[in-house]
Amino acid sequence: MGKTSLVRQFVEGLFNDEYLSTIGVKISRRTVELPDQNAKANLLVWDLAGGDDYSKVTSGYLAGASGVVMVCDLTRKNTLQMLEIYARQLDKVSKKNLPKVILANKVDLTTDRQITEEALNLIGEKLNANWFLTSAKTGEEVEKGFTQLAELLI
Amino acid sequence: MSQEPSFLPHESRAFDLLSSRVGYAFINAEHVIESAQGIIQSLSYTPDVSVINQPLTDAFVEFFGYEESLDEMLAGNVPFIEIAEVNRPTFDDDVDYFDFGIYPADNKNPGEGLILLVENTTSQGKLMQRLIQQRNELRLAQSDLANANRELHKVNELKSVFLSMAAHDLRSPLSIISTYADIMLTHKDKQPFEQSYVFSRILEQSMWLNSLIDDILNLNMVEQGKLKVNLEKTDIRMPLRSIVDQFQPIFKNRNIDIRLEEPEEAVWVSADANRIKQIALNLVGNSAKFLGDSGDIRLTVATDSATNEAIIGFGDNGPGIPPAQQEELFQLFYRTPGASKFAGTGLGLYIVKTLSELHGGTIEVESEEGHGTTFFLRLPIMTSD
Repeated sequence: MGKTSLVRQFVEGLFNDEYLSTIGVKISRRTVELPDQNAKANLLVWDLAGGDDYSKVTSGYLAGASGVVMVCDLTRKNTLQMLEIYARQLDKVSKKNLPKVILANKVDLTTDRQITEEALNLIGEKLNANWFLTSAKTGEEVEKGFTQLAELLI
Repeated sequence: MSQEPSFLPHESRAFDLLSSRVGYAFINAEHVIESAQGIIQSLSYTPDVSVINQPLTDAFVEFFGYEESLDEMLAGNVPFIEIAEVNRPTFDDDVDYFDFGIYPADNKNPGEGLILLVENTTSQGKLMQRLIQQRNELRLAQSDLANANRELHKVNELKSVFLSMAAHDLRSPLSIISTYADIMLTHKDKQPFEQSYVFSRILEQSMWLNSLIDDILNLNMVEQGKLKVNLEKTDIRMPLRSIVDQFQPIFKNRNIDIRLEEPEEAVWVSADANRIKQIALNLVGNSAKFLGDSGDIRLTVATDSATNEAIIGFGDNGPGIPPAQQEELFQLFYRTPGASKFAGTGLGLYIVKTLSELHGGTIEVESEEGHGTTFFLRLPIMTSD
């Protein structure tokens, strides 16, 4: 889905085409300026394994979470359905009603796209989360998505 | 009298090794690190500043957000906090893995403070990472393959629909052309040779085209598993006679002699006469194609009492087929290099083989370069009424 690539783009402004599966958790830090609120937010981003590896161990990482960035892959339809499952698991182990945003990644792969904006609207309403069409590769909307979460957290 | 603990050399070495892989720290009730051993200092997010007297969440951001849970642990309400497989980047752009755990320093008196325990699990982590990487790559490949397959099926279905429609649309005008050519040929005695030659060629080519349309439609049916034969008790000589009778007048103008050499008595097989004609049409058509302006085509019927089979031969004295090409003849769309100068699709022999097998029979080829080719269709003889 490109979670690690999104975090790397957000934190370091870099992109690497090489696919490397994440196990466990990788923690990164970045300060975000919020001019509208005349504030700065120090974000600690926990990049977690997804798919089947989103397990009991992963649940342990979520106890201290203040907000959530959920990621789906626009070129793989089933990743959108997985968001609902993740959201249910999240509700069980974390604080209730955590602010969320959805990053629908790989918008740059236009010809392979399998997820429509209508489908994103539906899931966004269900999860009470705004969504952004992002590209970890080009950086499109990545900053905007993370910044909106920071604004929700302030 | 107190005594300093002393270590044997191997115990000291073991302690050093352990210290390079694990670390522990004492955290007081204010969440401040009071003492640390092993790898704790090197893992701190502020490695240049001593972790001693630093708040836990400054030195280890992993516990940021866990402040309430730490207080609950100090109150005896939370037994432990564990964060496994924490990734830490290395200087050479690699990743090390660590398990973090916080436990009460004294279970009976948890308010006294907490123990932070850190273990380097890089070797297990890397092994696990490789396994998951391979699994994920496999899944992605499977998913891509499934998508490609779905697309191929869609395209194939479209192709089938198009071919069916095109074949059906071709058949009507073709039927009119061949009918008129046939009518004209019935009066060939009153026509100059050139005229009857032209009509016979029109009729011949119409028949090949019709046969090609059959093959295209049959191929669609084979792909959909719908190609069927209506097996009935059949004297195998009858459909073969029909083919020979049909072609004799047409081939006469090309100096091609087509004959059926048959036994006097009927040879009964379980067959679909129309499909047998289709097989014969394909094989005779192939022979005629390669014979050019003259030659012989022989259809033969014999029986093999040892195997209880009827053996139908379709022979010619054409150029023959090199041995290396004979093995591939019945593959779909295969065309011999020598066939490239003639019109064709590579469908015919594939359909012949499929139809032969639907009859419970086999088809084989015998050929020698410069000495012609014979195809042998073997069908089980009906043993009783």
